[in-house]
Amino acid sequence: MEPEIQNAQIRNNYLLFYVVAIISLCLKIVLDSIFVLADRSPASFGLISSTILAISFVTGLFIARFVQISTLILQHRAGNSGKLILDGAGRIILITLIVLLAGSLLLVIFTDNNTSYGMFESIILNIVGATFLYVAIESIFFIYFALQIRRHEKTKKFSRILAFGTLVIYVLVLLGKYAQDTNNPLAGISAFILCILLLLTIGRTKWIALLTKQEKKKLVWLSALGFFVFTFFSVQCFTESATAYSRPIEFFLSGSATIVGVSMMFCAIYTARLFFPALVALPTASAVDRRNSEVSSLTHLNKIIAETIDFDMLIENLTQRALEVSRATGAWCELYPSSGERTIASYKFINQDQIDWLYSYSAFDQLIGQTTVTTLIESFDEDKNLAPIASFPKPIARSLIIVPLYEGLSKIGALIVLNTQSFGFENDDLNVLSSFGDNISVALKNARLIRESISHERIQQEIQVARQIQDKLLPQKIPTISGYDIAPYSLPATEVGGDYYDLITLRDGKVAIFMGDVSGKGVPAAFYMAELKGVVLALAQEVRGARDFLCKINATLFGNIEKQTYITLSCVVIEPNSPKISLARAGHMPFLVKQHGGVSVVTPRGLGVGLAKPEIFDALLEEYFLDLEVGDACFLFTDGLSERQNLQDKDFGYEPILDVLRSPSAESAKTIIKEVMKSVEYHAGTCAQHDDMTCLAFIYRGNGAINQIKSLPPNDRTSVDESENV
Amino acid sequence: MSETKFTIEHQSIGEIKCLKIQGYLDAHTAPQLESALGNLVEEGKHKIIVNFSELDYISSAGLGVFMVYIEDVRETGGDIKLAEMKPKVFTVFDLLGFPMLFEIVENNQAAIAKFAN
Repeated sequence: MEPEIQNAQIRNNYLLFYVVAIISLCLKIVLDSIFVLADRSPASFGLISSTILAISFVTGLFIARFVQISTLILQHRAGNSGKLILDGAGRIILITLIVLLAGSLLLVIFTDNNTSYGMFESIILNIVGATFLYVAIESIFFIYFALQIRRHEKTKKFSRILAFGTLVIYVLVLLGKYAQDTNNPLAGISAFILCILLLLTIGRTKWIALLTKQEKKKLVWLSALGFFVFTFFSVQCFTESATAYSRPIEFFLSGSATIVGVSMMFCAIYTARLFFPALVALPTASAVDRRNSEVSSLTHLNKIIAETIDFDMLIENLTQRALEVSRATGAWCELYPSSGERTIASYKFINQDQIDWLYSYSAFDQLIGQTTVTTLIESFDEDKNLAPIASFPKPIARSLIIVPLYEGLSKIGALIVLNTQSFGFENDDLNVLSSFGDNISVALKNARLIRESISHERIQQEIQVARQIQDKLLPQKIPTISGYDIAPYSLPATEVGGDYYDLITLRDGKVAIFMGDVSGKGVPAAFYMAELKGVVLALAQEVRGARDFLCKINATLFGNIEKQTYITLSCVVIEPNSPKISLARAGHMPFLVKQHGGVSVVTPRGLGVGLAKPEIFDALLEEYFLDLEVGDACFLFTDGLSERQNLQDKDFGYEPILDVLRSPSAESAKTIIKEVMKSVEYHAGTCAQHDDMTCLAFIYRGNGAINQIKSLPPNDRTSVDESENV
Repeated sequence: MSETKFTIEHQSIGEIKCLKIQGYLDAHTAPQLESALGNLVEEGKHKIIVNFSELDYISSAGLGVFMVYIEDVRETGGDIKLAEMKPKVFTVFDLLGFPMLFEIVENNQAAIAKFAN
């Protein structure tokens, strides 16, 4: 709101001065027409009041214009000053021309050469004189505006000196006049100094170079016209004859002719100063325009490249911009997908049929196909193979530029720019189009990087989802089984694996312990693991033992999962408070068993689930029955543990686990797990974990022994809870 | 491991095709072997030897590849025979029960002899 109020105040201020000027003018005209017939001697009341009114008119106008122009300059923001000056020059020259013609006409028709004035003649003289003064003030402020708007500090200072210097000359002339001093050198000298100052000040004409060709042409014509008009006007002001312009000005305000003449002279000098650079800039104008449009096109293209990940839009824009910056009459962009035919991605001022027609010439096809760097074919006539294309009265093309587009090192497309004339392109076309090609390569690389990062993000999310599914599929809590101490452990790798373990209570109260691994990794593995869990739960109520369970799982899954997918699965069935256990193994890692004081690797024969049809699978699957003593233990694990490598590529193997089982410290399932993990970490050192590590240990505690959680010392309890939640 | 190179070398021994696989066969490189086997089966070459002499590692996904085409080639009287496995690689096959499903032999000659029978 505030700037608007300020603007309104300023407008009111200068409107007030305009009003003062107009009232003064009207009063003077009336006063003069009354007094002109009676008396016009220098000291008369009529002449003095008339002079005061005239000065009031001039001063009012001067201040009003000054405030108005200053406001304009304040509001102006840098950028288009060249255009503003051009518009200003156009306006002031037009006004001056009209005033000049109209004034001359009025003077010739209505005035005579007599020194006495009629009432009507005085009105005409007053109006014409006032108008001439108005033009003079207007022109002075045009130069003031033109210099101020450049915003160059030195120029601004000079222009202020200029504006007020003119005022000083005026005062000096007036003083001379009224002191009856006909030969007043002060005014002439100051005018001369100001002219020099003006010439120095208007040296900066760089803005002319930035005008468009159209504007430069306009400036040349305007400044030439302006020069003649202002010079004529100026000369007229310094001439003393009845029809000369000095007469009405002198009539209006004695002594003002000089100031009008000086203003007009300034304008003449200024327009002359504009004329020459504009004229010189004209021949290069179209080149400068082209360069400007190239720069803006490249800027635009770069902006698009930076912002666009939409490849089609990029190609569309490329074709459009290529037409803008070169002397082309048509263009298209084609792409070579890794699989399939050449496709025309976008075309301008040419159609698919015409492109196909061009390609019907094998020489053309070869030319496009074999071009590896941006190439200019100046004329088809020079190549006898291509000449037939240009042999028509209105050919599609007589010259062309080929810009191959690369993604990395592979050529993925080409931009083809045509001209219907031979030698229609020049070297700068080649340069700018070549830089287009480079930019597009960068854009393609960007687009690819963005695509990759998006897909990477998606994969990360998939892995997250798969891991959540997997976590839910593993037992959230280990059931307590009387007579047994059981502890599982699972350490996931960054990549989702298919490790599975479970404890399932069967119909007869026995418990089946599973340890398994789905082949492959990632989302598919997690998916099959979910399927396996479903099958295991569904079969739990109808199986009779470890072997039976695995056979039924295979019978259900075989043929229903992908051929290359299989599941390795170990199953131990235990009975609460009973030392008898049964073991079966479907292609999984062996059982490591501590029994009767010794340790052994137990490997019953068996195929992976899903590898063979039930007849073969069932026939090959063995089941072992073991009788445990109190303190005997069994260890189940996945290959993520036994194949955990160290920096020397050596697998962890079974031996360290057997060592743990042998050691007398292995008195609880939790301790066994802890010791094995300690051992595997020591083995692996800094070598990264690639696969999930899952294992489970159980110890037979004897008939009626309390469950494992109560049997553990208090400080171990929290860690057991942790492992249950993994 | 996934960065390590995996290559397949094609050899022809009469009507028998031999794929000599080298390097690491895991979830990332398995599709290469699968397409190589698939091409042979499509061409009607159903007597295939896969030579493991220079294979250093095989993962569960790598093992699965052999299951994809085994039924197809056996239906037409062909077979996929696995030859010259390093002990470590054999252990993986053995645990899974592969020796009960595939013929795993000493070397190419043994495989050719088996085909001749």
